[in-house]
Amino acid sequence: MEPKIVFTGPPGAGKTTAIAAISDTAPIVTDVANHDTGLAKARTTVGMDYGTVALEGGEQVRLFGTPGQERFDFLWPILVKDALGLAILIDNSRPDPVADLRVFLKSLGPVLSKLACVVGVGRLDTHPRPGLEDFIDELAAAGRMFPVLPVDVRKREDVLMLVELMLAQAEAKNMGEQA
Amino acid sequence: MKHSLRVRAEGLRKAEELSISVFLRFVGQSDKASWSLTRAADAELVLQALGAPSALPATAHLAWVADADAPVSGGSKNVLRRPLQVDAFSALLRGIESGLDVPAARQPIIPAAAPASVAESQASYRLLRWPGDELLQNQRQRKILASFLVSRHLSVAQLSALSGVGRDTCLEFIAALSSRDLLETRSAVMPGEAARRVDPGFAPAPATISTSPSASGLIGRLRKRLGLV
Repeated sequence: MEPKIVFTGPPGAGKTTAIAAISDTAPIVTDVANHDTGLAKARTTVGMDYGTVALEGGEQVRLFGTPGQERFDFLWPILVKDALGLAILIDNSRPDPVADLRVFLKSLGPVLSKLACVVGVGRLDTHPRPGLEDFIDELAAAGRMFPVLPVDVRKREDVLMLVELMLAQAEAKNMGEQA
Repeated sequence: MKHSLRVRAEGLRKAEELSISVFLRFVGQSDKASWSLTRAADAELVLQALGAPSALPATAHLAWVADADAPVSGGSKNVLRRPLQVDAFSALLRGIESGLDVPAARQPIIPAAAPASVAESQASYRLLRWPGDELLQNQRQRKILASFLVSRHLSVAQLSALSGVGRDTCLEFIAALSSRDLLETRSAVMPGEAARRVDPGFAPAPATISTSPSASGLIGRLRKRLGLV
Protein backbone atom coordinates (compact mmCIF):
# COMPACT_ATOMS: atom_id res chain seq x y z
CA MET A 1 0.00 0.00 0.00
CA GLU A 2 1.36 3.41 -0.92
CA PRO A 3 2.19 5.67 2.00
CA LYS A 4 0.03 8.66 2.74
CA ILE A 5 0.12 11.90 4.68
CA VAL A 6 -3.19 13.27 5.92
CA PHE A 7 -4.21 16.86 6.57
CA THR A 8 -7.23 17.35 8.76
CA GLY A 9 -8.83 20.20 10.65
CA PRO A 10 -12.00 22.26 10.70
CA PRO A 11 -13.41 23.97 7.60
CA GLY A 12 -11.30 26.88 6.46
CA ALA A 13 -8.13 25.75 8.20
CA GLY A 14 -6.29 25.41 4.91
CA LYS A 15 -6.11 21.68 4.21
CA THR A 16 -6.62 22.11 0.46
CA THR A 17 -4.07 24.93 0.35
CA ALA A 18 -1.53 22.89 2.32
CA ILE A 19 -1.81 19.98 -0.08
CA ALA A 20 -1.49 22.31 -3.06
CA ALA A 21 1.71 23.72 -1.51
CA ILE A 22 3.60 20.45 -1.76
CA SER A 23 1.71 18.27 -4.25
CA ASP A 24 3.37 17.58 -7.59
CA THR A 25 0.13 18.28 -9.37
CA ALA A 26 -2.86 20.45 -8.65
CA PRO A 27 -4.83 18.57 -6.03
CA ILE A 28 -8.07 16.88 -6.91
CA VAL A 29 -10.69 18.69 -4.87
CA THR A 30 -14.25 17.79 -4.05
CA ASP A 31 -15.49 21.23 -3.09
CA VAL A 32 -19.10 22.25 -3.41
CA ALA A 33 -20.88 25.51 -2.85
CA ASN A 34 -21.11 26.19 0.84
CA HIS A 35 -24.61 26.49 2.26
CA ASP A 36 -23.47 26.42 5.88
CA THR A 37 -24.00 29.96 7.10
CA GLY A 38 -21.56 29.28 9.92
CA LEU A 39 -18.69 29.06 7.44
CA ALA A 40 -17.33 32.23 5.91
CA LYS A 41 -16.31 30.65 2.62
CA ALA A 42 -17.98 30.16 -0.75
CA ARG A 43 -16.96 26.55 -1.23
CA THR A 44 -16.09 23.73 1.14
CA THR A 45 -14.72 20.21 0.84
CA VAL A 46 -17.28 17.45 1.21
CA GLY A 47 -15.25 14.50 -0.02
CA MET A 48 -11.54 14.67 0.31
CA ASP A 49 -8.69 16.45 -1.37
CA TYR A 50 -5.98 14.42 -2.98
CA GLY A 51 -2.46 15.15 -4.15
CA THR A 52 0.74 13.22 -4.65
CA VAL A 53 4.49 13.50 -4.23
CA ALA A 54 6.36 11.23 -6.61
CA LEU A 55 9.48 9.49 -5.34
CA GLU A 56 12.37 7.85 -7.15
CA GLY A 57 11.54 4.40 -8.38
CA GLY A 58 7.95 5.13 -9.27
CA GLU A 59 6.66 5.13 -5.71
CA GLN A 60 4.51 8.02 -4.56
CA VAL A 61 3.29 9.46 -1.31
CA ARG A 62 -0.39 10.33 -1.35
CA LEU A 63 -1.63 13.48 0.31
CA PHE A 64 -5.16 13.44 1.66
CA GLY A 65 -7.24 16.27 3.01
CA THR A 66 -10.24 15.23 5.03
CA PRO A 67 -13.57 17.01 4.93
CA GLY A 68 -13.55 19.38 7.86
CA GLN A 69 -17.17 19.50 8.89
CA GLU A 70 -17.91 17.58 12.06
CA ARG A 71 -20.68 15.56 10.44
CA PHE A 72 -17.95 13.76 8.52
CA ASP A 73 -16.04 12.80 11.67
CA PHE A 74 -16.69 9.10 11.04
CA LEU A 75 -14.35 9.42 8.05
CA TRP A 76 -11.39 10.87 9.92
CA PRO A 77 -10.13 7.72 11.66
CA ILE A 78 -10.61 5.74 8.46
CA LEU A 79 -8.54 8.17 6.43
CA VAL A 80 -5.69 8.49 8.92
CA LYS A 81 -5.31 4.76 9.52
CA ASP A 82 -1.78 3.65 8.61
CA ALA A 83 -0.78 7.17 7.61
CA LEU A 84 2.87 8.11 7.63
CA GLY A 85 1.86 11.30 9.37
CA LEU A 86 -1.05 13.54 10.26
CA ALA A 87 -1.28 17.32 10.38
CA ILE A 88 -4.15 18.81 12.34
CA LEU A 89 -4.65 22.34 11.01
CA ILE A 90 -6.40 24.84 13.23
CA ASP A 91 -7.86 28.18 12.15
CA ASN A 92 -7.28 30.58 15.01
CA SER A 93 -9.86 33.03 13.67
CA ARG A 94 -12.70 30.62 14.39
CA PRO A 95 -14.81 31.18 17.52
CA ASP A 96 -13.19 28.48 19.67
CA PRO A 97 -10.05 27.02 18.09
CA VAL A 98 -9.07 25.03 21.17
CA ALA A 99 -12.46 23.33 21.11
CA ASP A 100 -11.87 22.57 17.42
CA LEU A 101 -8.68 20.75 18.37
CA ARG A 102 -10.57 18.91 21.10
CA VAL A 103 -13.09 17.63 18.53
CA PHE A 104 -10.35 16.08 16.42
CA LEU A 105 -8.50 14.62 19.39
CA LYS A 106 -11.70 12.99 20.56
CA SER A 107 -12.80 11.72 17.17
CA LEU A 108 -9.42 10.32 16.25
CA GLY A 109 -9.00 8.84 19.70
CA PRO A 110 -6.68 5.85 20.04
CA VAL A 111 -5.57 6.09 16.41
CA LEU A 112 -3.40 9.02 17.46
CA SER A 113 -1.20 6.81 19.62
CA LYS A 114 0.24 5.19 16.52
CA LEU A 115 0.60 8.32 14.43
CA ALA A 116 3.29 10.87 13.86
CA CYS A 117 1.19 13.96 14.35
CA VAL A 118 1.72 17.70 14.30
CA VAL A 119 -0.63 20.59 15.05
CA GLY A 120 -0.39 23.69 12.87
CA VAL A 121 -2.16 26.83 14.04
CA GLY A 122 -3.03 29.34 11.34
CA ARG A 123 -3.90 33.04 11.39
CA LEU A 124 -2.03 33.62 14.65
CA ASP A 125 -0.78 36.89 13.22
CA THR A 126 -4.27 38.36 13.13
CA HIS A 127 -5.76 36.29 15.95
CA PRO A 128 -3.04 35.77 18.59
CA ARG A 129 -5.42 34.31 21.18
CA PRO A 130 -5.52 31.51 22.09
CA GLY A 131 -1.76 31.12 22.02
CA LEU A 132 0.29 28.04 21.24
CA GLU A 133 0.56 27.23 24.95
CA ASP A 134 -3.22 26.87 25.11
CA PHE A 135 -3.12 24.20 22.41
CA ILE A 136 -0.21 22.47 24.15
CA ASP A 137 -2.29 22.46 27.35
CA GLU A 138 -5.27 20.99 25.50
CA LEU A 139 -3.11 18.22 24.11
CA ALA A 140 -1.73 17.52 27.58
CA ALA A 141 -5.24 17.35 28.99
CA ALA A 142 -6.02 14.69 26.39
CA GLY A 143 -2.85 12.80 27.26
CA ARG A 144 -1.17 13.76 23.97
CA MET A 145 2.04 15.54 23.16
CA PHE A 146 2.63 16.65 19.59
CA PRO A 147 4.55 19.50 18.03
CA VAL A 148 2.47 22.67 17.95
CA LEU A 149 3.60 25.47 15.72
CA PRO A 150 2.30 28.50 13.89
CA VAL A 151 1.67 27.91 10.21
CA ASP A 152 0.73 29.86 7.13
CA VAL A 153 -0.34 27.16 4.70
CA ARG A 154 0.11 29.55 1.79
CA LYS A 155 3.84 29.32 2.43
CA ARG A 156 5.40 26.12 1.15
CA GLU A 157 8.19 26.29 3.75
CA ASP A 158 5.62 26.29 6.56
CA VAL A 159 3.89 23.21 5.15
CA LEU A 160 7.25 21.52 4.68
CA MET A 161 8.06 22.19 8.32
CA LEU A 162 4.89 20.36 9.32
CA VAL A 163 5.94 17.43 7.17
CA GLU A 164 9.49 17.50 8.49
CA LEU A 165 8.32 17.32 12.10
CA MET A 166 6.04 14.41 11.18
CA LEU A 167 8.90 12.58 9.53
CA ALA A 168 11.19 13.08 12.53
CA GLN A 169 8.61 11.43 14.76
CA ALA A 170 7.97 8.65 12.25
CA GLU A 171 11.68 7.97 12.00
CA ALA A 172 12.11 7.77 15.76
CA LYS A 173 9.09 5.46 15.99
CA ASN A 174 10.50 3.24 13.26
CA MET A 175 13.78 3.02 15.09
CA GLY A 176 11.98 1.87 18.22
CA GLU A 177 10.13 -0.81 16.28
CA GLN A 178 13.35 -2.04 14.70
CA ALA A 179 15.22 -2.17 18.04
CA MET B 1 44.87 7.90 40.67
CA LYS B 2 41.89 9.51 39.07
CA HIS B 3 40.93 12.77 40.73
CA SER B 4 37.48 13.33 42.11
CA LEU B 5 36.78 16.99 41.55
CA ARG B 6 33.78 19.07 42.40
CA VAL B 7 32.24 22.11 40.84
CA ARG B 8 30.05 24.53 42.71
CA ALA B 9 27.63 27.01 41.16
CA GLU B 10 27.55 30.34 42.89
CA GLY B 11 24.83 32.84 42.17
CA LEU B 12 23.78 31.12 38.95
CA ARG B 13 20.23 30.76 37.75
CA LYS B 14 18.48 27.51 38.58
CA ALA B 15 18.27 26.67 34.88
CA GLU B 16 22.01 27.18 34.56
CA GLU B 17 22.72 24.85 37.47
CA LEU B 18 20.56 22.23 35.77
CA SER B 19 22.41 22.75 32.51
CA ILE B 20 25.72 22.23 34.28
CA SER B 21 24.47 19.02 35.87
CA VAL B 22 23.49 17.73 32.42
CA PHE B 23 26.80 18.83 30.91
CA LEU B 24 28.65 16.97 33.65
CA ARG B 25 26.97 13.72 32.65
CA PHE B 26 28.59 13.99 29.27
CA VAL B 27 31.87 15.83 29.72
CA GLY B 28 32.45 15.39 33.44
CA GLN B 29 34.54 12.27 33.03
CA SER B 30 38.02 12.08 31.59
CA ASP B 31 41.06 9.90 32.08
CA LYS B 32 42.29 12.37 34.69
CA ALA B 33 39.24 13.38 36.64
CA SER B 34 35.69 12.67 37.59
CA TRP B 35 33.67 15.85 38.13
CA SER B 36 30.51 16.22 40.13
CA LEU B 37 28.27 19.09 41.18
CA THR B 38 28.44 20.06 44.84
CA ARG B 39 27.28 22.69 47.26
CA ALA B 40 30.38 22.22 49.42
CA ALA B 41 32.37 25.35 50.07
CA ASP B 42 35.69 23.70 49.24
CA ALA B 43 34.85 22.69 45.66
CA GLU B 44 37.81 22.61 43.31
CA LEU B 45 35.99 24.76 40.74
CA VAL B 46 33.56 27.55 41.44
CA LEU B 47 31.39 28.88 38.64
CA GLN B 48 30.32 32.28 39.76
CA ALA B 49 27.86 34.67 38.22
CA LEU B 50 29.61 37.87 37.29
CA GLY B 51 28.86 40.44 39.96
CA ALA B 52 27.77 37.94 42.62
CA PRO B 53 29.48 38.25 46.02
CA SER B 54 32.42 35.87 46.33
CA ALA B 55 33.31 33.59 49.24
CA LEU B 56 35.99 31.72 47.34
CA PRO B 57 38.44 29.48 49.24
CA ALA B 58 42.04 30.15 48.31
CA THR B 59 42.58 26.79 46.61
CA ALA B 60 39.63 26.79 44.23
CA HIS B 61 39.61 27.57 40.56
CA LEU B 62 37.23 30.32 39.67
CA ALA B 63 35.38 30.84 36.42
CA TRP B 64 32.90 33.59 35.74
CA VAL B 65 29.53 33.15 34.12
CA ALA B 66 28.68 36.29 32.25
CA ASP B 67 26.12 37.56 29.78
CA ALA B 68 27.14 37.27 26.16
CA ASP B 69 28.11 40.90 25.84
CA ALA B 70 29.22 41.67 29.40
CA PRO B 71 32.74 43.11 29.66
CA VAL B 72 35.05 41.04 31.85
CA SER B 73 38.39 42.36 33.02
CA GLY B 74 41.42 40.11 32.71
CA GLY B 75 40.46 38.50 29.40
CA SER B 76 38.14 35.66 28.53
CA LYS B 77 40.17 32.66 29.66
CA ASN B 78 37.98 31.72 32.61
CA VAL B 79 34.70 33.11 31.44
CA LEU B 80 31.67 31.10 30.35
CA ARG B 81 29.27 33.16 28.31
CA ARG B 82 25.51 32.87 28.49
CA PRO B 83 23.79 30.81 27.28
CA LEU B 84 26.14 28.14 28.61
CA GLN B 85 27.76 26.05 25.89
CA VAL B 86 28.97 22.52 26.49
CA ASP B 87 32.17 22.90 24.47
CA ALA B 88 33.27 25.93 26.49
CA PHE B 89 32.42 24.15 29.74
CA SER B 90 34.32 21.07 28.63
CA ALA B 91 37.35 23.17 27.68
CA LEU B 92 37.28 24.75 31.13
CA LEU B 93 37.32 21.36 32.86
CA ARG B 94 40.05 19.98 30.62
CA GLY B 95 42.12 23.10 31.20
CA ILE B 96 41.94 22.64 34.94
CA GLU B 97 42.74 18.94 34.62
CA SER B 98 45.80 19.72 32.54
CA GLY B 99 47.25 21.46 35.55
CA LEU B 100 46.76 18.48 37.83
CA ASP B 101 49.93 16.93 39.18
CA VAL B 102 49.61 13.54 37.51
CA PRO B 103 52.71 12.48 35.52
CA ALA B 104 51.57 10.87 32.30
CA ALA B 105 53.73 7.76 32.71
CA ARG B 106 52.23 7.03 36.09
CA GLN B 107 48.63 7.57 35.23
CA PRO B 108 46.57 4.69 36.59
CA ILE B 109 44.31 2.49 34.57
CA ILE B 110 40.89 4.03 34.48
CA PRO B 111 39.17 2.64 37.53
CA ALA B 112 35.96 0.72 37.60
CA ALA B 113 33.92 3.86 38.05
CA ALA B 114 34.51 4.93 34.48
CA PRO B 115 32.05 2.60 32.77
CA ALA B 116 29.35 3.84 35.08
CA SER B 117 29.96 7.30 33.84
CA VAL B 118 29.80 6.03 30.30
CA ALA B 119 26.49 4.41 31.08
CA GLU B 120 25.30 7.71 32.52
CA SER B 121 26.24 9.44 29.32
CA GLN B 122 24.01 6.98 27.50
CA ALA B 123 20.96 8.11 29.42
CA SER B 124 18.00 8.61 27.13
CA TYR B 125 15.50 11.41 27.03
CA ARG B 126 11.91 11.92 25.96
CA LEU B 127 9.86 15.07 25.85
CA LEU B 128 7.20 15.50 28.49
CA ARG B 129 5.71 18.57 26.89
CA TRP B 130 6.23 20.40 23.62
CA PRO B 131 8.47 23.40 24.34
CA GLY B 132 7.13 26.90 23.96
CA ASP B 133 8.37 29.78 21.88
CA GLU B 134 11.08 30.66 24.37
CA LEU B 135 13.06 27.64 23.23
CA LEU B 136 11.88 27.12 19.69
CA GLN B 137 10.87 30.37 18.06
CA ASN B 138 12.51 30.71 14.65
CA GLN B 139 14.78 27.77 15.41
CA ARG B 140 14.07 25.15 12.78
CA GLN B 141 16.79 22.83 13.99
CA ARG B 142 15.48 22.79 17.54
CA LYS B 143 11.95 22.04 16.36
CA ILE B 144 13.26 19.03 14.48
CA LEU B 145 15.32 17.84 17.45
CA ALA B 146 12.30 18.17 19.73
CA SER B 147 10.17 16.17 17.29
CA PHE B 148 12.58 13.25 17.46
CA LEU B 149 12.05 13.23 21.23
CA VAL B 150 8.24 13.15 21.00
CA SER B 151 7.68 9.48 20.40
CA ARG B 152 10.45 7.67 22.25
CA HIS B 153 13.48 7.94 24.50
CA LEU B 154 16.70 8.74 22.67
CA SER B 155 20.26 9.10 23.88
CA VAL B 156 22.25 12.13 22.80
CA ALA B 157 24.21 9.90 20.41
CA GLN B 158 21.02 8.54 18.89
CA LEU B 159 19.50 12.00 18.59
CA SER B 160 22.62 13.25 16.89
CA ALA B 161 22.71 10.30 14.48
CA LEU B 162 19.04 10.52 13.58
CA SER B 163 19.00 14.27 13.10
CA GLY B 164 22.43 14.76 11.60
CA VAL B 165 22.95 17.55 14.15
CA GLY B 166 26.24 17.72 16.05
CA ARG B 167 26.47 16.04 19.45
CA ASP B 168 27.32 19.25 21.29
CA THR B 169 24.34 21.04 19.81
CA CYS B 170 22.09 18.13 20.76
CA LEU B 171 23.54 18.14 24.26
CA GLU B 172 22.97 21.85 24.69
CA PHE B 173 19.38 21.45 23.58
CA ILE B 174 18.90 18.54 25.98
CA ALA B 175 20.33 20.70 28.76
CA ALA B 176 18.00 23.55 27.86
CA LEU B 177 14.97 21.22 27.89
CA SER B 178 16.11 19.63 31.12
CA SER B 179 16.52 22.99 32.81
CA ARG B 180 12.85 23.66 32.11
CA ASP B 181 11.68 20.24 33.34
CA LEU B 182 10.49 19.28 29.88
CA LEU B 183 12.27 15.93 29.74
CA GLU B 184 11.84 12.48 31.15
CA THR B 185 15.26 10.94 31.67
CA ARG B 186 15.83 7.22 31.60
CA SER B 187 19.12 5.75 32.76
CA ALA B 188 20.73 3.26 30.41
CA VAL B 189 22.01 1.15 33.29
CA MET B 190 19.84 -1.88 34.00
CA PRO B 191 20.15 -3.92 37.21
CA GLY B 192 21.83 -6.87 35.49
CA GLU B 193 24.49 -4.65 34.05
CA ALA B 194 26.15 -3.84 37.36
CA ALA B 195 28.70 -6.62 36.93
CA ARG B 196 29.89 -5.19 33.67
CA ARG B 197 30.67 -1.92 35.40
CA VAL B 198 33.54 -3.47 37.31
CA ASP B 199 34.93 -5.42 34.39
CA PRO B 200 37.97 -3.46 33.24
CA GLY B 201 37.55 -4.95 29.80
CA PHE B 202 34.11 -3.54 29.42
CA ALA B 203 33.88 -1.03 26.68
CA PRO B 204 30.82 1.03 26.00
CA ALA B 205 28.72 -0.11 23.11
CA PRO B 206 28.90 2.25 20.17
CA ALA B 207 25.85 4.29 19.38
CA THR B 208 23.38 1.90 17.83
CA ILE B 209 22.88 4.13 14.82
CA SER B 210 25.69 5.47 12.73
CA THR B 211 23.45 7.06 10.17
CA SER B 212 19.77 7.63 9.86
CA PRO B 213 18.13 4.22 9.45
CA SER B 214 15.70 5.65 6.96
CA ALA B 215 18.21 7.63 4.97
CA SER B 216 17.75 5.37 1.98
CA GLY B 217 14.21 4.29 2.89
CA LEU B 218 10.89 5.91 2.29
CA ILE B 219 11.39 8.73 4.77
CA GLY B 220 14.82 9.51 3.39
CA ARG B 221 13.56 9.55 -0.17
CA LEU B 222 10.61 11.75 0.74
CA ARG B 223 12.91 14.17 2.55
CA LYS B 224 15.18 14.31 -0.46
CA ARG B 225 12.26 14.80 -2.83
CA LEU B 226 10.86 17.68 -0.76
CA GLY B 227 14.26 19.27 -0.32
CA LEU B 228 14.38 18.64 3.43
CA VAL B 229 17.95 17.31 3.44
